[in-house]
Order: sequence, then C-alpha cells, then structure tokens
Amino acid sequence: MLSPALELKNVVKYFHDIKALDEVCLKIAPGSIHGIIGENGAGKSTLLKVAYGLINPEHGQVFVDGVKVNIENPQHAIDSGIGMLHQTTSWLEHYSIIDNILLGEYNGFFMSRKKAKARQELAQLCREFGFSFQLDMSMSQLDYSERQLVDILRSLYRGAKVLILDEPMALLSPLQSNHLLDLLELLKMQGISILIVAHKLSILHHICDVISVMAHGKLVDNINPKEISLGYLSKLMVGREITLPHPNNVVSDVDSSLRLKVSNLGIKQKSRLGTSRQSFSLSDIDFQVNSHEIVALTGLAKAGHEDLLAVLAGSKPFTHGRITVNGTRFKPSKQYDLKHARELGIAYVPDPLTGEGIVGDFPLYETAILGHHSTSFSTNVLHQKRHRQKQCQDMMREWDIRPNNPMLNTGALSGGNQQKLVLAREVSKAPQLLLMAHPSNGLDVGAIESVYQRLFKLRDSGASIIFCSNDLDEIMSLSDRVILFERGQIIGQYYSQQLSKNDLSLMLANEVVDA
Amino acid sequence: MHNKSLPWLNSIVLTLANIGLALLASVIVLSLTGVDIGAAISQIYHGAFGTQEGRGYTLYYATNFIFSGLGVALAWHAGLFNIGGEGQATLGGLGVAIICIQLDGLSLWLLIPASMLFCALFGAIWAFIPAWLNAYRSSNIVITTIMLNLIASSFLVYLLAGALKAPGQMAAVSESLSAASALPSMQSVMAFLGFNIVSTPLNISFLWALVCSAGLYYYLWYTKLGYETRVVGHSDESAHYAGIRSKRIVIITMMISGALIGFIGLNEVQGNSLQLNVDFVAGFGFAGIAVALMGRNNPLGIVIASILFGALYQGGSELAFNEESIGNNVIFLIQGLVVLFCGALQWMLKPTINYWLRPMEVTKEDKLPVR
Repeated sequence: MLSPALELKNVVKYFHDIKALDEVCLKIAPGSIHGIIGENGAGKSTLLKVAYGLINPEHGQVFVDGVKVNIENPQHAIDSGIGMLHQTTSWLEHYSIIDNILLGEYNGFFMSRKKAKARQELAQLCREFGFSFQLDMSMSQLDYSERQLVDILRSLYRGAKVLILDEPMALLSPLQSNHLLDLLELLKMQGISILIVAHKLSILHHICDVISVMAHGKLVDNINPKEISLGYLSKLMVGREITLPHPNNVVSDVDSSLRLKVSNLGIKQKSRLGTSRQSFSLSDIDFQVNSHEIVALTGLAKAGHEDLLAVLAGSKPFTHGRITVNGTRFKPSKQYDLKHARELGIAYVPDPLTGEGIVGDFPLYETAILGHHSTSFSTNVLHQKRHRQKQCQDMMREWDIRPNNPMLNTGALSGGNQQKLVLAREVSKAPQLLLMAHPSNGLDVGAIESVYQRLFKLRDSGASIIFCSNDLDEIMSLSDRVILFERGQIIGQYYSQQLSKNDLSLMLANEVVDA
Repeated sequence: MHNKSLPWLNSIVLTLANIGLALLASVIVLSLTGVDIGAAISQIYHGAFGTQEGRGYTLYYATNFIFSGLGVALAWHAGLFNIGGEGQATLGGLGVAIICIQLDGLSLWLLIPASMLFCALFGAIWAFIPAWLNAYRSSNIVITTIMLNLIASSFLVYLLAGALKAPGQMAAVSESLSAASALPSMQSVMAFLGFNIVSTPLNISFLWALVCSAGLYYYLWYTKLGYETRVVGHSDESAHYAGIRSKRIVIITMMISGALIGFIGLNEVQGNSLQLNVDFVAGFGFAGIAVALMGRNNPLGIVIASILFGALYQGGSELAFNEESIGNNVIFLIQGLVVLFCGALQWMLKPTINYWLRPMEVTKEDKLPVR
C-alpha cells in the first residue's frame, strides 16, 4: 500500500489552558482531495497551520510520504514539499509575477542565469495547468483570484506535493470559484494531494475524496462524500439538518418607510500625476432602501459595491451626490463620517479580512465596545469594568462565541468567532440601518443559520439591512432585493423572490462576457 | 502582537529575567574594571537604603524617574515614541522658575497650583510641536522630539545668559527663588504628622508623582480617551473604524505626556535647587525610556522600576564618591543595559522561558483524568 502523502499523528496544541487540538491524527492519500469541516473554533485552521509550520504543537509528528519530518517553520514545510495558500498574502505590488514568485529563491551571485532557467520551468507549469497570465505582468494588474493562482503557481514551482488551502473560495465570485475547483481537479490528476478547509459544504461534498469532521479540537470522523448526502454532511457537523436556502419568510403588508436614499452618488478618484483624465470608482448611484428590508449588493471584484458600503458607513468619503438617512440629507463633506453615521443609528460590520472591527491585542470585553465606547465609560471605577465584562460574557453566551471568557485576547479566538463577536456587537445595538461586508465569511453553516435568524428578526422589527457579498447562497437566502454592480455603476435591481440562483449566476457571468 | 500566547506568569518571569540579565551584565562590566563586586553591591545597597538620608535621596530621584517613565509610557500606549523628555523637562523647569519669580511673595497655597499648571503647560507646549507635526504633517516623532531636546537646551542657555540671568553672577544661572516659594519638603510634611525624619531634597512632588501614576492608570483603563488612546496605539484601521480621530488623540496624548515629564522641573527647581541652571534635567528625561520599558508601560510597574532606578542612582553616586576608579557613569551603564535587555532584547528569552515553564503546565494537565 502507498504511504500517505501527508500524515499528522497525535497532534496536541494548547492555547493558554484551552486544548485547541487533541490527539489529532490525519492521513492524506496521494493524489486525493481531502476536506476538513467543523464548526468555528473546532481547530481546523490550527491543524493546517501545524502542517505548514506556522504553529508548533506541544506533541505530534508529521510524516511526508511515510518519512518522519521535522516541521518547525514554513521553510521546513516547503522543503518537505508542502505548500499553503493564504487569504492575505502580501505581494510586492510593482514587481513582476516572476520576481514575486522567485522572491527569496535567489541565492548566489549569478541570478540572471537562474532566472532564465526558472522562467522556463514556470512557463512549462503555466502551460501544463493552463494559467493564463504572462510572467512579466506587474502584480498590481492582477485581481484577487489571479493572485491566488500565482500563489498556487509559486507552490508548484517550489515542488509542492501537498497543497493546503484555507477557505480559498471565500472571496471569489462563483465563476472564479468554479475555475479554481477545475484547477484543483487538474492538480489532483497530476498526483498532487490537496488539503482544503472550507465552510461551503456543497463544494467540499462535490470535489473531495475524503472529508474529515472536526469538533472541539478532535477529529471525530472520516467520511466518504460519495456515500452520504449533503444534508447528512451538515447534520454531522452541527448536529442538525440545515436546509438551503434558509427559509426567509417575508412579512408582507407592513408600513415600510423610506430609510435611506442615495442619489447621484459618485467618487472621483484623484488623477495620477500627468493624466488629466478623470476617473470615477463609483458614479451615478441611485437607489432607495426602506425599513423592513434586506438588500444585497453584489458584483465582480472591484465592481464598486464594496466601496459603496464603506461610503454609506462613513468610512470612505464621497465626492458627488447626496445621501439621505431618515430624512437628513448629506452633501459630500467631512461631516458624514463613521462617528456621525453611528449617531444616526447606522451599524457597520466591516470585511472580516481587514481586521478593522477588532483589536487583536485587546481583551474581548474591550473589543466588544469598539465604536460604541463613547457610552461605555462612567465614573464608577469598580462597577464599570465588571459591568462591561458581564455584558460581554452575556453577549458571547447568547451568540455562542467560544471559549466564553471575556478576559481572553481577541486575537486568541478563531476567525469565525471573531466575526461572530463583531456581528453580535453591531446587531445587539438594534441599529436602524445595518451595513455588512461579507457577513458570513468564515462562519460555519450552523452559525450562519443562527445569524440569519437574528438578522431576519432585526428586519422584522423595522430595521433595514444592506450587505455586500459574492456568495450566491447568501444572497438568495438573506436578501429581499439584489442590486448588481459593474464598473462602479448599478446595472440592475431585482427582487430575490423572483430570481433563481441560476439567473443570478448567469447575470454575474454575463458581465464577464460583456466586458 | 508580540506576546501572543504568553500567559501572565510567563510575562512576569520574562520581565524579571530581563532585569536580572541587565544587572548581571552590569556586574560583569564592573568586575572587568577591577572593582570588588561584593563590596560595590553592598555600598550601592547601603547608599540607597542603609540610611534615612539615603532613602530620602532614593525617593527624590525616583520622583523624577516616575514622571519621565509615565510620560514615555503614555505616549507608547498611543504607539508614539516620545524621546523628547529632556526638552519637555527643561521647559517644565523653565515654566516653574518663571512663575515662581513672577509671583514671588504669593501664598504657597496659590503658588503651588500656579507653578504646577505652568510646569505642565510648558512641557505640554513643547510636546505639542512634534505632535502637531506628526499628526498633520506626517513627520517622524522620534526625530522631531530628539531635535527639540537640543533646541530646548540651547533655548535655556540663551535665556540664562540673557533675560533670566541672575544679576551679579558669572555663572549661567537664574536668580534664586525665595525660600518661601519652595515646595514643602517631606521632612516638614512628616513633622506636621508628628514624625521626625532628616532633611533631604525629598519633597511633596513625590506624592504628586504617586497621584499622577494612579491618575494615569485610571486614565488609560477607565476613561473613553484612554481607551481611544490604546486603540490608536494598536491599530490605525480599528481606530478609523471606531470613529476615533487619531490626529486629535496623538496631540492630546503627547501633550499629557509632555506635561507629566515637565513635572521633573517641579521636583528639581521648586523642590530642591530653587534655581534654574543649565543642566538640571541631567538625563532624567532619557531615563524615562528605560523606566517605562522595565515597568512594562504599566503605571504600577513604573513606580517600582523608578524606585529601583532611584536606588541605583543614589547608591551609584555613593559608590562613585567612595571609589576612585568608578565615575558617575556607572548609572548610565546600568540604564543602557536595561534598555538593551528590557527593550531591544525584550523577547530574547521568551522561547527559553516558555520551554522551562512548559513542563509545569503539562504535568498539571496530566493529573487530570483523561476523558
């Protein structure tokens, strides 16, 4: 029998006194796609980081092709043929793709000769796997999904036999996501093993050969997705069946009132030196949002929907048009900022990848008041700290944020639990208008369901919710209305009830054809 | 960012280990100069704590260290490195001297608040310049503060050679403040309470320094501004998200920091020398960096570190006085080594300490029944 491409044995890792990984054993067969699922904070990301040497466990061994290897840092992992894709890789923006890939590889004096050889190898890999970019293109010309492909190419060039991916589809449009999945299949065909963590069960169910289920730091089950249904898979993970799309019972015949009116809004970009041409990152944005309504903003990367959300939140200035919130009209000026927007009853959940919404080094009870801290300080010294801790603990219990200890550092929580904390903080303020960027990014299916229930409740109580997302399931489940963006403009508004997932996917795909 | 997954026990052990290393290195350097180490240590200890007078001087010096340590630490919490303590203290002293000379003859009950206010104001204004340049013109605060130290010192020399020069004096000193305008010494405070202690320069500034420490603790962890200061220090993006005006925070923080360091002037000029001379700050402003590092930017830690530094300063002077071969530089040597080990090499021992403390935790875990 072939020895596994990658094997982790008896891995134990503590964070403070919490057991993040408890005697985890994992075997990845050569040339297979191996998925890991589990609730937020189950230890999935920690396990991947152990395999790539980003975290050193207290116990445990790693075997590659049956040979024990010592992986203490990512360089060891790369040398052993393990590559990992990161959500937030930093690139040298103004250098070419090939320079970015070879970064850190130049050792020795005669780099040009090595570069010529590397270029050949890379060109060969590009042909083999169908990467469409030119090696001399500047990194700044690439969008997020293309950068991800460059990252994969880099791993392949370094001789990765096992590729680790943590939530690779989180920021991709459906089309890009499909493209990535095709590539993974191709890699698998070439004998490369893939270890993937994702919250989209349907995708994992579709592409994986084996799926491991993790819960509370333990690996509880290995299953063959061909033998079980998708519904059963979600049941395995959260202990109950989850139906998709989530039932959204729209309450009709409520007196809805105008909450937000945006007219002619635009952002003129500062022109670069030497060019007199004006460019707009957003232009002619006109739409209204009523109370009792959830509106989704979507589009491809850099279509402008994310910028618009930041503008509405007061995080980004606008240069043209008007924003009217509850009857108060705002012109482009410094007056409309985050602080002001909050006073108007607007709450904002920023993109979890930016880390804006939290302070990693603060204890949770201090992160839990970020942005709303103006009202949280009183002169009563002893009472206020305990009061804040108690409030935070109650909120964490209500939203199932684990571990339930407000004294922990925010950075010690898993990404999903951090996101839940931000959602909890903003939703619990009962805002009149809630703005969210990629709200369910990093949340497991169980958490998503309970978050949606709260959002529906918030809407039914009269609030308006606007969110931007690339996730079709999320848009179909959560929104009452969808607004489509392309190149900084609105290209269509639809009622979600009258739309199928397929229609939406086609509309997004058509943009590409048109462009 | 740095101390992720470092439990508090480890962090205390780490601090103590760093201080220990710094002191060990000092001992090694001293022994290389041919000093009898045992005798030197006992002389330092005796000089600092052995006599009532020594203790008085120790706390007197500690007062300066507390003020400058608090100032540096506060700026640090907002992510700013204020190394302009020398200049801010110089200006603080200038403010005290001017107000005491101008208001000579005023009741002490009115003069003390007035001199404290001016002291703080002068220090704050001196810190406002680099703060504004940093917030609104993106200048590097490390460079501007250090340059303003030189300007402050030249400015003081200019004034002491001209406008403030005492008539009939050759030296560049101001006219003496009247004895009636001096801050009450601790001797008179204790005498009022019925205790009898010897006369030292120790004065009520020490009590004010303790009040400032408590105040800073309250400010940082129990007020909105303090919270905003710490958010700004941790992440610009989070501060923006929270609707905090970072520029405003930078200016407020630096001004309070400058005011705190300015109080060195209060202790030195109105508390002890009753005269403004060219170099009364004598490195206390810079030493605040070492104190803040050793005290881990925590007001309580700073008070403890200041007393240690005060003891080294007093004991060291005693040693320098008694031993021919040792100059006053020994204090700067120790300060430098503390900055090196508690600042620059702060995390050097972290892996070692984590390694040594790990078996304890694992054995504790092993005692629990498995599953």
